[in-house]
Amino acid sequence: MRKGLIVSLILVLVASLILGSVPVSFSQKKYKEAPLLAELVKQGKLPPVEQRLPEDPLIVGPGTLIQKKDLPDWKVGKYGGTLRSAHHSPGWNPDFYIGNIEPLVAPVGEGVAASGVKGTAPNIVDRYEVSRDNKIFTFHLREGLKWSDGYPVTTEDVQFAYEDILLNDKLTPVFPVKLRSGYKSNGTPMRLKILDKYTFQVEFSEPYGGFLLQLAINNWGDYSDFLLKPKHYLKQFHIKYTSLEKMKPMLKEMNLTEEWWQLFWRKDITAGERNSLDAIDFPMLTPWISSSSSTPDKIMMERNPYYFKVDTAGNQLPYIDKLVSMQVQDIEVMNMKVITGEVDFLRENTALAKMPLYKANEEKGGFKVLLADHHLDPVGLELNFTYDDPIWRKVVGDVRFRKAINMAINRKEIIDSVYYGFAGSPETAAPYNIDMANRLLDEMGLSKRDKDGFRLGPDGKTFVIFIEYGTFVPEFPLVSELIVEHLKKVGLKVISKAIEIGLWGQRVSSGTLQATIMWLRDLGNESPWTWNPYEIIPLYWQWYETGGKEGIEPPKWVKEGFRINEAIWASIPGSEAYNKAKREKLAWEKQYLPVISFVGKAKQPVIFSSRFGNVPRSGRDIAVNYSIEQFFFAK
Amino acid sequence: MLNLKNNFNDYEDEKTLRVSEEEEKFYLASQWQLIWWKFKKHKLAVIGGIILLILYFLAIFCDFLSPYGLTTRFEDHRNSPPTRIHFVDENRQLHRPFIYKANKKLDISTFQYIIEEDRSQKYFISFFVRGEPYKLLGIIQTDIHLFGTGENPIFLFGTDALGRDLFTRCLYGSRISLSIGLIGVFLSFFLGLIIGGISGYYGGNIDNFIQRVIDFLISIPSIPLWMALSAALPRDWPVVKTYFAITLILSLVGWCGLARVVRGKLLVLREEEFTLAARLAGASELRIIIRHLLPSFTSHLIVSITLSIPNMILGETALSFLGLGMRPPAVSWGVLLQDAQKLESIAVYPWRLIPALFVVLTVLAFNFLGDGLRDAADPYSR
Amino acid sequence: MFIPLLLILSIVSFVIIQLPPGDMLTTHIMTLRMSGAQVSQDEIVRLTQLYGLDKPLYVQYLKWVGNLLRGNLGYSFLWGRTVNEILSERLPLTVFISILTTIFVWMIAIPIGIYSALHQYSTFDYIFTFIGFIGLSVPGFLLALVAMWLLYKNFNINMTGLFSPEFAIAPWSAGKVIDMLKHVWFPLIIIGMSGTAGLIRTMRANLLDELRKQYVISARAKGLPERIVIFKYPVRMAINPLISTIGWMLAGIVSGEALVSIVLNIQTVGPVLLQATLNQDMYLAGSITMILSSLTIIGTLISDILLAWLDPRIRFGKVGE
Repeated sequence: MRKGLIVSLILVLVASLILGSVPVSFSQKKYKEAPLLAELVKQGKLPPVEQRLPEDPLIVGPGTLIQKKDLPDWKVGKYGGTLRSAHHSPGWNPDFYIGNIEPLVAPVGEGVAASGVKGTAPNIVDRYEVSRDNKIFTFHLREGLKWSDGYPVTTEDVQFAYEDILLNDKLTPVFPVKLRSGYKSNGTPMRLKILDKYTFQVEFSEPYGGFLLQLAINNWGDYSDFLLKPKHYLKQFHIKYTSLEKMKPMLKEMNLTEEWWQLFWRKDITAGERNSLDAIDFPMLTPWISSSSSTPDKIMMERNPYYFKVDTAGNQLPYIDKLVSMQVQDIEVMNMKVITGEVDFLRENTALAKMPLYKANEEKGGFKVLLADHHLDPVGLELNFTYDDPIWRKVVGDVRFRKAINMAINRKEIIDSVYYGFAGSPETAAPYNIDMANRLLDEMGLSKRDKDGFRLGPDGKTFVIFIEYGTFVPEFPLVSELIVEHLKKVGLKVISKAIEIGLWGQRVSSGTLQATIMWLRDLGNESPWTWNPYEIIPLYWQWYETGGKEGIEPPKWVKEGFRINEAIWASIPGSEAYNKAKREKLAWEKQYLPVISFVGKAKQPVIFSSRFGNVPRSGRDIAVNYSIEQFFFAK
Repeated sequence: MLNLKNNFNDYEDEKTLRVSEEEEKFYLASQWQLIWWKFKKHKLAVIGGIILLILYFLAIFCDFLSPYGLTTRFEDHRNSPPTRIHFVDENRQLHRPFIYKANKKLDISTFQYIIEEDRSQKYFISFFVRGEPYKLLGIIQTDIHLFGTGENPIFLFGTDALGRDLFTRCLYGSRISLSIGLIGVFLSFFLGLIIGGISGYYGGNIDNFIQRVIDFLISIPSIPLWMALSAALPRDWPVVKTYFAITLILSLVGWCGLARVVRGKLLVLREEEFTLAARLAGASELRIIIRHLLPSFTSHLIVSITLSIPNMILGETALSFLGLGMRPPAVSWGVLLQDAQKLESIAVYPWRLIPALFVVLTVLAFNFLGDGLRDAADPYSR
Repeated sequence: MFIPLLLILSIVSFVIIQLPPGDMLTTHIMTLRMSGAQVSQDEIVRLTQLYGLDKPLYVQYLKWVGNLLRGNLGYSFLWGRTVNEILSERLPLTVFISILTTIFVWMIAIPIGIYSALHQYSTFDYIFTFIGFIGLSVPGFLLALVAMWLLYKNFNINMTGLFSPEFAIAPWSAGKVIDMLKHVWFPLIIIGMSGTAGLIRTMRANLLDELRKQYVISARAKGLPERIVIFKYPVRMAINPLISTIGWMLAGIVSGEALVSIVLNIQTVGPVLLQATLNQDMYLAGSITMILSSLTIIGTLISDILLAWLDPRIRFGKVGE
């Protein structure tokens, strides 16, 4: 009897030994990985994919990254391939930048559309809750989420980002406005509370539902701009954890002696710096990470083995192995490389004017061009309300003046000449009506004319709109020449000059621009003003930011704008309060015309290889760019 | 070439040297006539000179010669190719030149315009027609243009993206491109001549010092200077005025090339015997430099100046390429070439490259002219 | 003698490069702005400190010069790399192409110049002169783009860079060198075209000047064969001034042609300097400028030496010595 027991025990032992050493593939494999990585796992250089993914990876399927109406035939993709692109400013490929952005929470709506943001969804965080008063946000990180070097992501990283970076005077000399209550420049800074290894709370003293919007999309930032930094890597450059002595050799390389914070800044890589040399060993959460084979002229990125997204079949994303971008300083030659089929993806440096060229060479070059919706109004007029000239301020401050201009712009001509018909009227446009415009201007008191037919200002001198615009895009000079002619018809004299963008930037910050032409209403920048309030209301904005101590007190309608803005940022994106505030904003924009937008609903050509799968056939250009982790080479 | 051999034979005859009529004219001719005859021999130079005269004529009378105004836009005719001028209609009958109306349709699949000529009506090219008013030579108010076709526009060089006639813009552009840098060029020329002359003639420490100054000036990066100047000059100055001012200012540092050449030449020439002779005869240093040395290399000076002008024209186009030169709303060849420097212009709208032809023609003409003048003014050649 | 000059040059260059309004940071902010990315106020403060832009100008200058003297050319904010790195990657190619172009130009221009001088006003003189001048008159950057397009459209030859697509991404290898040699003829011709014309006419002018001199007539009268009359001395004398220009080419060889190279998409030093200057990338622009200035000075010296050596009549002393 006992012998039988011993034999069965031994059998059980042996059996369990055998079963224990049998590889997991014996059972149903939950996740799959790229062959490139599988090879490394076999060599023992990487842990198996189950251990690399968080416990609850983000599942990407039809409708997740791109709305179903834009990509109806979403497929599970194939691994492999290198995506080629080109860039013209050294070390900066804007399409790679957007493609690699990973916010803590993702925007939901028209894919990526702040004006149509219907809410936010988890991305890097697993789930989140907001208190009823919109003041306390509780975030849960994905358990098991790891940095690209295998280290786990925990709230230690969040604490480090808050306590050791944000609260450190040297590292953060000015506390960022985006982390202040209500998104106000004098709002109380946020407070952090760590609840457990994966849960943390952010607390504000005022309602700041828009904090979610900040995290999701505002100004196209991502996790690296908010509260998540790899502590295990960065602490070697932080005085609290590493002595100055140990940092000396690295400081010396940078020609510093004791300014450890500058070393830290160099080594801390934010979203916009992912292609610099210092980013090569930096732990990231993005689909691709900087490759050590990058050279000054060539940006290379390779897949992140610890990326947290999988598709519906359990394949770890991204599908494409590598990203490569060559520096091509001349944009014409860059587009030529599209023609010769050397570019697999290009969004920012394409041009509507080149559509005939793209179309004619699609087949030969092996690419396709998609006319996606632009994420902003490509051109409009900005007037500086607080420009240092009382006559100017009086005239421009009168809403009839702006309404008149709004009616005097022949949008059809601009759309047809400059945008080849691929644009429409913006939401704030008024129908083209010269007579009405003339009448409004006469009513205002600008009825007297000089010998050339131009209207005189209240001081009896010819009123001149002096526009200085930056040479950002080739469309601006064309539009500027057109509006000079359009406004001439209603007797307004316009002088328009192109200036260097550096000079333009400087004039903006000093508030000395009188008027300018710029793109407007960027969906990634939720504000009733332009992207930078200094372009149109420098002194009013100063008044607002300093609580009335500096600047000039703005008129009622401007204050109304401030109030609406605060309401938007206080509410949660997609909520009733938010939608109401957005509707108010639009109505306010139409009524007061803080900026005069010429063109809206424009199209932007997006180039992609004809071999790609999972490319949308419509939708917003930025959304397409955002979703490159689900592109794959089908052939 | 004068045939010396004949004269020797005559001499043997112990008769008076008989000289042919042609040769007599040659001997009696003045210096200027000699230069002119030599010049005429260089065919390309003569052609160059004529071309330049034509171009400057075009520039001066551009408002009369062009059918439309500078800013006139034809909204229905954007990006149109040059209008075809016909002399024979469908019935194979000869007429004076005429054009048809062009209908454009956008082909959605290729994004290109398909042009069809509407042969139902002929529009004849008339001369001395009434058009947009302007001031001829800046003083005479008139509205007569050289040619026109009435209500159906004619575009000899096609149109640009806004529907403006390229022929008109090329002519107006020539006005600016052919003149704006001239004063700067002459300023640099004289500075280079004088300073280089002093440097080469006196040698020694003066030469050393000036050479170092030249090295210094050449090494100064001119692009930031240009950018700084355009920012520093009054904001409300029109584009052309700013450009003119900058070229003037920069010509104060642009004389180095010529100075070096002049100096090199003088270092050689001052050792020549005629220099020694002049000095022994008691001539002052200045007189030696100006009267004796400089004429010896007039050919080089002429080459230099006739090369500087086209260099200035090319320089303007290069600056436009960099985005530092003139920009719209100014119209110069450089500005027009900015439009040409695009793939779609080369591939789909090639008529936009025509301003480049103007540039090439002008530069070639100046170069040939310079060549011819150099040959003509050379005191040693026959 | 040269040290004070270089010192003054360094100060002036530094000041001039910074002269335009705005600075490296402004450009960086604007570049990001074009992609819609915002640089917030706190970021700006941080970057200002990081780039040392908050320090007074003379402190920035001293830091730069101090490093220069130690062989550290500084850090480029535009590239995110040290200047030494950027240069060491671009310099070999630049020098290679420049020297190749120079040889190419000389080999073509000198014989043509000689021929033109000897057969003045002949049809071939006109033809060569004409072709040569075309190169001089067409703006190189436009020519490059047009030629690139025509080559691709009509012959399927892809000259959008120095390498074929496969090799462009790959690291250096024997195959890559061969690939480059297959492409290098295009930039050679485009860049060389303008230089050729100038050289032809200079050569022609010089030779014509020499041929009219007394000694040539004497030699011919003596009965020497024409070939020797022309080549033994006049051609040598005509080439002399050209050789003396070699010194001045030194700086040019290191920087390479800039504008046309941008369009040709060849990775030489010229475009880097251009972009750095336009963006006010202080150390990159300043250090390269200093290198080129030093080379200019050395080059002038070499030229003077060559000039004196080749033409024994030239003495550099004062007049009357």
